[in-house]
Amino acid sequence: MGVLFERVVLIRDAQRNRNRSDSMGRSAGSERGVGGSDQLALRLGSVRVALRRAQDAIPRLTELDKTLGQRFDKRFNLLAGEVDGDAAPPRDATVAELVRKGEDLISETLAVLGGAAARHLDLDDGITSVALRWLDQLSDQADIRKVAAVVPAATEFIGVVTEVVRLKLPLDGSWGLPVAAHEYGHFVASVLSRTDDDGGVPDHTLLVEGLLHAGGADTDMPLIYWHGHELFADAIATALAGPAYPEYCLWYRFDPAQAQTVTPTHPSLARRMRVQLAVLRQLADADASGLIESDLDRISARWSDSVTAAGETAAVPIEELLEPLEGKLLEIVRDHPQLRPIRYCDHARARALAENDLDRLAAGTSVAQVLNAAWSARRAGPSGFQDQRTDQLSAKATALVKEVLDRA
Amino acid sequence: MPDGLVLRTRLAVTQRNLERVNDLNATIDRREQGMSDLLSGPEELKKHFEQVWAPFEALSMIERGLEDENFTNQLDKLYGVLRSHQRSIKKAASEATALRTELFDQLYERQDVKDYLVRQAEEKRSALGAENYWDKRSECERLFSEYVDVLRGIALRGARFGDQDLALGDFFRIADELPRVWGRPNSWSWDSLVVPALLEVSHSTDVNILHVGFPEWTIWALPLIQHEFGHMFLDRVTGSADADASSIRTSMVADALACLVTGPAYACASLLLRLDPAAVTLGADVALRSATILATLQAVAAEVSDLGPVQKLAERLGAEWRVAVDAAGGSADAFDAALGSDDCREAVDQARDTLRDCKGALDPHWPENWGRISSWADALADGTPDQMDIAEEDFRDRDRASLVLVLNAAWLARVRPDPRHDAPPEKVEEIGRLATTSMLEHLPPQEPRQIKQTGQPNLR
Repeated sequence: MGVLFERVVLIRDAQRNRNRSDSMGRSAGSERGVGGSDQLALRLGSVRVALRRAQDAIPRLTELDKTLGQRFDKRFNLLAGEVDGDAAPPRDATVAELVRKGEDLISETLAVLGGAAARHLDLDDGITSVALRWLDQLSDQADIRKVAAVVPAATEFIGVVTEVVRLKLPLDGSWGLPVAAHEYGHFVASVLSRTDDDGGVPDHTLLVEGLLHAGGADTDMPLIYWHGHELFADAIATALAGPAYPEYCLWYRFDPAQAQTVTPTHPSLARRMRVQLAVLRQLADADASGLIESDLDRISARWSDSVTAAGETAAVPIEELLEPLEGKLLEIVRDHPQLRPIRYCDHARARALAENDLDRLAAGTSVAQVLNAAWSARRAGPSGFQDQRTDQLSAKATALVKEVLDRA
Repeated sequence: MPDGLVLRTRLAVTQRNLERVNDLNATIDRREQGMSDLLSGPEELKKHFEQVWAPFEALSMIERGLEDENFTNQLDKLYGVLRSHQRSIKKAASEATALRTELFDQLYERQDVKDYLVRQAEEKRSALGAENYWDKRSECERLFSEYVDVLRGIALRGARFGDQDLALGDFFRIADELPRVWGRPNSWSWDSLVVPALLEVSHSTDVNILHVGFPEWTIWALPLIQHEFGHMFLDRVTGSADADASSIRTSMVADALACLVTGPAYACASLLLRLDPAAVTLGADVALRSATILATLQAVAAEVSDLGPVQKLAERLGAEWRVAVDAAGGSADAFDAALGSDDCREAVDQARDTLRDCKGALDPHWPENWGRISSWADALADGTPDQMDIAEEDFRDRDRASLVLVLNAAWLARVRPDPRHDAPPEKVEEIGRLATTSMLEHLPPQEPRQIKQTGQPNLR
């Protein structure tokens, strides 16, 4: 659950004066670095060569995975054209940016090639294809542009340059599908905008990105940015997938013993769970059946108990900069008109589907309702969460999700 | 010398009345016969009317030979009038046939009425004599009371009272079906009548008639029938004597059974419509009954996974009940004392044990269908009853009609676990109407019955 933003132009301004080295000790944006202009020019040349090779590889990618190849081809050509254009010799600052972009693109291309191979070999059990169709459907409904592709990978990631979502293998079947919504949340953060009227001229601003950049002083910037991004992605995943996302985090991902661990890119699990529960509260407030509230109580209690049993606390220490940001992000998730059509609702329908043992798909059932129905059916199983039916339920849910997407 | 004139007079009247009861089938047939003849009229007329076309065809032949314009015009006019009448008669015949089916076909096949009322009348008439009249008269009077109930019920149900959306007969057709959700306790299958009454009569009767009290002849009061059926169930399963049936303990167990089988709809109907909060005092029947109902609901919600909303609904009903008790001058403390009492706990346990151990009784299916109920409640609240997959549910679970699920959905659409989501008052009637219509559409089909031309022979 990460996001490839460290080299993204969106935050370049905030990071322009910061020296950050990659694992080889090179400075990615080293316009003031050791090699100066000559080095940058050489690196740009190498990047361009690599990009052409990558471009040559795309037909093979299409052979492996037609859909993926076609979708990636468009995005690649668009981005490669920016890096490998025929424009006049650029200035140093622009060169550094092109190098960053090009390296990102190469990195993403490698990931996509690897992902295509994994998909070709069916290592993902078809889940990434399903995830891509789901995210496409969400984009259509919310009138947001589509991600380029979803591929299996070693870690979760979304490359905001290529807009390729990577989902970590193993994918845990349909149970892990909500993670695609989390990565989609990173993507949404980069595209969700607000339009103001500036003297009769529409003025578009990136809403979430703007907030994340305004979240603190320059010295706080990376941490606030990363943490805010992660919290927003969690909030979006919960808003789109409903209880199925926190349920997955609770049972598969969040280690209670690490509840208070903070990393440079990720806030504590306790904080992340708190955000998810806050979004569940928003959904529960709109849910007349009371079923979401019931799930909220259960997940909250379970998380709290697990953390306490692990010798930790589920309480979230106050962080001056993150608290207000968290509140504003939650407001966006609750109120933004583009998110309204894709917000999870009608939880009762999911429960009813579970009561049918996932056997009878009612008209108008959503992907998220199927995912939640699977969790509900799993809870009702005789052996609870370790039930041997888990795999069967996952397969059934995946088939139903496909049916929902086919019907749409 | 006095020679027992009082006794002889009363005995003669009683015996005559028992004969009348025994003639119930013939009475019903006679009542139906006149109306049936009337309603058969349009159909007969339709057949007779077909005969006008043969002479008309003959006239047409003549007209072709005459080439008389005036004659042709008159014949055309006649044709128009005849065709118009034919259409009217056809329409009237169709409506009359539908009405006849609606009025009579629902009532006739109620085997329990025939079996018990008629048979009991015959048995009592045979056994009744001057030597035992004074001992037997109260039994006979009770039987007459049942007889009157049946006749009154049949009359009221067939009278098409009601409003533009729902005839009383339709309402009671739904009511007749509700006890089937209990299954076949000890292989006994419910096949009797629900009849209108002034108030519910909470005791099992020899003829197994359930009473629904006015003014609640609406969908919201339908769950209350289950309390009375709870008494019948207990009578069938445990063989408890009538004396026990009137005891508060039996009433509490009947309440617990009704709540177990019917779900929150029963708790809503009992607490929000029927029980008198002013009567809640220390140790009073209403205190114990209301506590038993809530305790039953809470027990089910606590035991079945994922019934959090039911738990919250039970908490809300409890809180609302306490407020009503205080406002009406009752004692909320008395209610709380009842809730924590052994009596209450034991009644709930007894109901659960009885239901579990009874051969042929069905497990309550509302807990495992709470998602469906919630989904249907949303559909009713949204005015989209076509989203309710009632037919599919009936197909999936053929033993247990979905009527109880619809009742719960209707109540849930009206009263939610969180009061913010309650239906606004102006929508309540519409929710009830949609739920009722949905239930009527999914009642088990009944075989059309030929109205008999003569009364059935009685059982003598």
